[in-house]
Amino acid sequence: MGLLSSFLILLIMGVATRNSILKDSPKYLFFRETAAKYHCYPVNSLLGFSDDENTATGLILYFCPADDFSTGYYSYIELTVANHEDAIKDIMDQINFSKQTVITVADVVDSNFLSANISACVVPNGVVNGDQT
Amino acid sequence: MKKVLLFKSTSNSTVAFPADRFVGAFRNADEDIKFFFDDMQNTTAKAGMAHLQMPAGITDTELKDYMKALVAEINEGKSPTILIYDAANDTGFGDSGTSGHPIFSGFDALETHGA
Repeated sequence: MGLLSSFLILLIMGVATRNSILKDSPKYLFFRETAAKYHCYPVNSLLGFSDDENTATGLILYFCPADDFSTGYYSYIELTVANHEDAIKDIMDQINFSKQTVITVADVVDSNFLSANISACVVPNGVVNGDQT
Repeated sequence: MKKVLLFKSTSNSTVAFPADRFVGAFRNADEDIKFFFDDMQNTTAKAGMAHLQMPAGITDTELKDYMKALVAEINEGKSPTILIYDAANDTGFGDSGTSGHPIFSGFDALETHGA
């Protein structure tokens, strides 16, 4: 294989690697319920939002599970919000426009919340298997 | 930009799917359309769905024009949160603000998973 061919292969590999890095999530969402219960998810793991049918103020954020990909298993965080739509808009604005790499969505311990629409969070232990809506 | 498509079937029932998990839409009958997404709870039936009602008389051309505008908004719009339809206020993307939403009129179903 000639030197030029090797160079071209390396160049292509380099481009592919850079693209892969660009696709990785540059931001993370942080949630803390107590000093011992917290979670930080990459934005790319966010699967969606839904209200909680059982709680008028509950907004559930679904994530890819960190350690169990079996069918039926997923991770989630439940926020207490004043208005579902406004809380989703606030979170999406921060995901897209914040200069912070780690975005604190809800930190109950420090009373630090992403917006006035969010006032608490529940951080389940590990992954779950069951309908949360 | 990371975007979500937001659906609101009642004032207290809201679901938002990431736009990059949108897998397709089809006209189910004359007066309803289904939007499908990758599901949120990793279930065996791996689809989330917004099943929307449409008023009588919506033509395929009107629906096609709406979908083209929606895809343009997903690709080029500046807002990360796109409200597709809010049934409580009869408003959403494509609404001119004069006489309710021109394409949608309600929900048959709004499911995060298992559709």
